[in-house]
Amino acid sequence: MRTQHSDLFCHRQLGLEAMEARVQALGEYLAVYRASYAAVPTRQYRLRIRELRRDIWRLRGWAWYLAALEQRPFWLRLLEMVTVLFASLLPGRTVTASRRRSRGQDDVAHLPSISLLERAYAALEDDLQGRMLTLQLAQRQRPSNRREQSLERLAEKLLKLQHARQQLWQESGRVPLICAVLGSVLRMAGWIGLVLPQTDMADR
Amino acid sequence: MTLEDGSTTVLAQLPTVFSLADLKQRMGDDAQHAMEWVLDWLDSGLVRQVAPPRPVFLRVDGEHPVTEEDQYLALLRAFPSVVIVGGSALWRQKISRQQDMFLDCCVHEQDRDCVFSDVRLHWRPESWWEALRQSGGVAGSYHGIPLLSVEQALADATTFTDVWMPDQDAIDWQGFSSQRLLQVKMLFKPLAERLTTDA
Repeated sequence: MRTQHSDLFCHRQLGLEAMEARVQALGEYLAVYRASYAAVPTRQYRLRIRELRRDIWRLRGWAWYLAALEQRPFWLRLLEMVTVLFASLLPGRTVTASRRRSRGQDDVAHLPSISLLERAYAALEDDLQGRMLTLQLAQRQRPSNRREQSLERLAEKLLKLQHARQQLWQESGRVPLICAVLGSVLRMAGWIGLVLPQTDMADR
Repeated sequence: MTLEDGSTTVLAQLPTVFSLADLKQRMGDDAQHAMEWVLDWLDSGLVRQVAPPRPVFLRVDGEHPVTEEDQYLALLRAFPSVVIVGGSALWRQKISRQQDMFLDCCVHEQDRDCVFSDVRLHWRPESWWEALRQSGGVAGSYHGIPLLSVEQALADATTFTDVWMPDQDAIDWQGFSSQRLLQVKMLFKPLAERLTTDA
């Protein structure tokens, strides 16, 4: 029971780390697009900026949900009830990771929430593996105990992250609604200057 | 070191600049081998990690020499926030008659190690990109990497003092606006002050 609780905690922490890293990365793309758009205001840039902003809000919404799971506030229980109700009203369908859906020929494609989160986990996995490769190469050339220990820690973290990524699929039914609701709340809170959790995450 | 046949075939099919994600996608069910293969390629010098520990790689086999375009693409993939600054931006817009020895770029990422010895990466705070937007946006791009305008380059170089600029008489001042320069300097100044205070 204790191990299960600690696993859940670990998965949430890794989920939060994945969301934060992805928000940061998308924020960097957004900053560059906005600087380019200011000089050349094309429709393509405008749509990309809009889609990136939406992605960032959805990621932040999910991060807020993950952070709230520990304390389980009242609103979270209410939100979970709504998601269950919402899921029962919709016809059953298999949820799979998919590519961005384009709405028109010139439109920037929209990525479903589950794929957006999946990409955040995948990006963190790639980052960890990148770090491991750097260390492994150095280890082959100049072996050291300290580096070996760092590699072991990274391998353990990678394994946990891969489990967390699999766990995400168990929540795939509630992902779109939670991302949409909490993302919108954060967005509106930002407009009126209300300070909520996750406001410390990169917001551009 | 002997490489697996499958590994060399896959490497030959990869673009000059690729990420770990590109390789995994290509390998499909065999993605578990991706790490082992990349490690072998790195060890045998067939690929280089563009900016360790970022999972972006550059093929360096003799058959395909690394072009300037590859180098810029590698930088862009490793550092999504990269912007060409200082004299490097002016030279690439044909505004400067003096060529840069190093390509000066600004990024927001904290880890700025990169394999290119002729590239210097400087850190800028997040609000620097917002200042670029407020000052009319970047002046275009070079192989996909955004370039600063002459006013922005000058304001950045005088405010942060870490990038190379050509001599005054080597710059083509046509189209230069001192009013715009003042505006950009006003935007950059508080950023530099904050950096000094934080340090």
